[in-house]
Amino acid sequence: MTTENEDKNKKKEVKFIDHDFDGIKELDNPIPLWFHCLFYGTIILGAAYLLYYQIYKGGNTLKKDYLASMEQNSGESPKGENVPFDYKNFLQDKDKIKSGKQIYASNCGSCHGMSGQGGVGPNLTDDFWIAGDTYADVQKIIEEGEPAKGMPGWKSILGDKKIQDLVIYIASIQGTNPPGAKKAEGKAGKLH
Amino acid sequence: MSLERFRYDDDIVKKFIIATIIWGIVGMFVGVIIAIQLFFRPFNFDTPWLTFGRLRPLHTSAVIFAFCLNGVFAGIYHSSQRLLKTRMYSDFLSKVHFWGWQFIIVLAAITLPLGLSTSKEYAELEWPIALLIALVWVIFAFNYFMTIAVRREKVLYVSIWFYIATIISIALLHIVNHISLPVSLFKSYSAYSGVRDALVQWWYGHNAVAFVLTTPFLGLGYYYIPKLVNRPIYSYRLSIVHFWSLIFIYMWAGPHHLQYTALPEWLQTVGVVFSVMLLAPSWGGAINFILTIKSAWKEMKDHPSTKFFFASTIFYLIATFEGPLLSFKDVNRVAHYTDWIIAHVHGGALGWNGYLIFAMFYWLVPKIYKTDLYSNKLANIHFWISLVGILVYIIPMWIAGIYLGIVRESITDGVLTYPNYMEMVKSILPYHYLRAIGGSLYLVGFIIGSYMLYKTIKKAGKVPDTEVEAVPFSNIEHNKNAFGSLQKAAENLGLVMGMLSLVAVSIGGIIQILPLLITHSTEERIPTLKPYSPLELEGRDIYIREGCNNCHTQMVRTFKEEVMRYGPYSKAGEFEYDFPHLWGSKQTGPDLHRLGKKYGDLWHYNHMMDPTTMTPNSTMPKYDWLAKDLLDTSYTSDKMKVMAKLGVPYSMEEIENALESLNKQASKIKNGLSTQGVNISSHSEIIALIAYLQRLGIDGKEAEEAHKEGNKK
Ligand code: HEC
Ligand code: HEC
Repeated sequence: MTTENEDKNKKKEVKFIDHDFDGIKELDNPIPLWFHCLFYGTIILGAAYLLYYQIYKGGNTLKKDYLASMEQNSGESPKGENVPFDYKNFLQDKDKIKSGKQIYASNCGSCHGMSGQGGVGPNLTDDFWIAGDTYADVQKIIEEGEPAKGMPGWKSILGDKKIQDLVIYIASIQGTNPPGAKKAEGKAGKLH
Repeated sequence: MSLERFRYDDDIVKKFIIATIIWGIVGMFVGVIIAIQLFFRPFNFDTPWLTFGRLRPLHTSAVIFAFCLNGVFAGIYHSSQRLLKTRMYSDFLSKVHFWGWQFIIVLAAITLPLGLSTSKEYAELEWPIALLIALVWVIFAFNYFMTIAVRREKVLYVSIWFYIATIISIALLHIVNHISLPVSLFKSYSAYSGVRDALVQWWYGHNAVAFVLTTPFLGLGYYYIPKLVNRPIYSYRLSIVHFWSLIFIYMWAGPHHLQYTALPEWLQTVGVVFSVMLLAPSWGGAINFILTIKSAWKEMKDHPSTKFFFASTIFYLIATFEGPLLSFKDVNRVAHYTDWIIAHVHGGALGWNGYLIFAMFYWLVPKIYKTDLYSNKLANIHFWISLVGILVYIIPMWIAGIYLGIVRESITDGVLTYPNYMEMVKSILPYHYLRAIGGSLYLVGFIIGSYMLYKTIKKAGKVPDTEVEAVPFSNIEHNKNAFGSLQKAAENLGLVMGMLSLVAVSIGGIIQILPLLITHSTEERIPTLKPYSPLELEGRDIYIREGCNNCHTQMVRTFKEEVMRYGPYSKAGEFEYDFPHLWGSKQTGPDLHRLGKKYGDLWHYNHMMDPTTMTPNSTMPKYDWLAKDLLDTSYTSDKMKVMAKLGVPYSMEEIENALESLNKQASKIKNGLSTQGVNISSHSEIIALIAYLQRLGIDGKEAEEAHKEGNKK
């Protein structure tokens, strides 16, 4: 069967390399054109890539892009940042309570208990507050946290809207007295 | 012309074949176990040495260095003797190589589960074993080059070039990456820190892929494919071009493992460029294989080896296309740290390496045992089960990787859509079930194939070494070259070929690594950076021992979504005292670089005792023994001394008072915990780990905040 193959190769005038290694022969086929295209093509592509990032964009593109994206972000935030959210009007808002409950379950329940009874963090259903008993206080502690005491800050992670929903949800579970409630911490006062 | 009669050493080949099969089964079995642990925690039986962090290095080492390399050795010893027309230079050295290597593997299988690890991926073995590897490797290299010197074949065939490049480059990579200072027999610290350590590590890691999993396998293919199909290699010229370009370019591509990290960006970009340029050299080899197989497809398609070779080459084509694709900045951003990378390496390891080894064995075993395969049918069953296994493995991992890569960056109303990491992990668990099934199928196929080879070998009984005749070297007439005289000259002298390969592979490393090693200018120094306290240092070593870096990264990448999730992105200067770096490569859990002070000590205590109490559904293992086991402080000051030698500014005083300071910090944490109702010894290991976790990323964050304050004023 080798001869048949050799015949075929002769027809195409492909030479064998004049050597045989443990019976292995090598053909002197030219390097296929597509290989050259791919080889030089990728080299050119690589060079272009390098020039684009290091020369045209001047290097350090990651940091530049990052800073640009952050600027864009801060530009978007509304002007009236300091206008407090009026919780009183939304305390009965079913949608917000529902959304708050969901956010609570996946981010807060591990520390405050799934029904707010407390755990690593304080009980959120009783009339005692460490951080203050107004809606604004609660919003503030959720936003900024108290890292030294083990409460993370959530402002950059959850954003304003979700935190508002959380406050409304927490307001909705006041006085539910869930099983396993943690003992009171902080000053007495009804959430208002 | 007088002929010399001699025998090839087939015995050593047989030994390596058997070792390959045994370690292959062990390595893949461990792989299946840890795949299951990722969705079913109890599968570590709450035993420290069976936890994911300790077994994962065992799995990777076993598959790469025990299965693949033993297979490569079998093929090298078999094909080289035939291509050089001589018996190995020294049977004794061959045996030392064999037994030395198996001894190293046994040591790895003992020390890694014990948690004795350097934490550097694919280089986890502690320094005495690393030294032993170097020694055995040098013995192998000496024996090999001496065999080349006593050959009866003037010209060196392509396969031999690949073997030479392999032997030289692995020695280089292994030695440079393992430079470290020992603290004790079982503990050492890398001589490089932070960004430099990461660069050296991935120069090594990437090129371990090149010179353990690629070049030797190409060498094997160049011998066994033409032998199998009894046809000439398609193109000699192509083999020359792709050999030299492959080994030269590979060495530059390492930084593509560090895209968007604190590595200087020019290095990241150069990493992409050379990865892209790797496509043609890789495909050049694959095409040479495929065209050679194709020329005999009709007659050969029924031989099991043909199928295995063909499929193996296809997986090589896919993996070497995927590699450059993954290295592009924008693709890498999505794929990095995800299961996509796991899919990529398993396409390579199971498809390319695993199949090629069996392609070789199904031809080689009957040859040297002078018998027929026990059953072609079983070989075919092996092929198809494994193929299904590979697909059921890599396709779900592709999906899981891309899905996670996209959702972790997804933003709704200006905030992260999935702020809770576990929620994202939960939604990819079904793909992990499939992956475990795929892996198991591959293992089943592997066992069937191994059983079949066992039967073949048993049937053959005792077979003497192959006897042959050849013309002695001095009498060989050699015609003038057919192509390129320089190439021919190099092929004539084994050592020259070795030296040329060394030059080719060194250039990339020198240009990329040296500038970073000699200048510190690339780093923005962090003025607030302080060395770890003695307790934190011990905590860090527990982190390394438990292999937390196998699931957690410590490198917040340079983009908005990552900063929103974790905090300020990581700067090179922050890692100056991190000997070794712990940036990690896979996020099975969230990044931990900005973890310090995010939670309270109690949270960490509860979480380590049982992660599900703090994060419902967590797949992280329990580490409850850390509360019972007491911290071994007998080496604390020695560790600090070694760190000081490496350049960490510990004063003599600090080193002398190490234990005092350690106890003080530990008592503080312990007292804090006991006011919250947890009573544990202040000497327990968990205290040290908590101290370390609470320290993570703090200095850099403070510097950032101070900088912002400064800007405001
Ligand atoms: C890692 C555990 C942890 C998580 C997660 C956590 N908290 Fe807390 N939280 C605490 C701790 C601990 C405190 C007490 C801080 C203190 O003592 O000042 C606290 C305090 C609070 C308080 C003030 C309670 C008071 O008595 O004044 C509120 C409100 C609160 N958390 C809401 C949340 C919400 C909403 C979430 C989810 C977005 C959340 N927490 C997530 C640990 C946590
Ligand atoms: C099998 C993979 C795995 C290993 C090994 C592992 N973890 Fe985790 N880790 C996870 C996952 C998944 C999560 C996310 C769920 C959770 O919070 O428990 C996580 C979360 C964490 C968190 C919480 C991070 C945050 O920002 O909320 C910490 C801290 C942590 N791990 C520390 C460790 C330490 C320390 C070790 C080693 C002793 C370790 N992990 C080993 C998978 C792992």
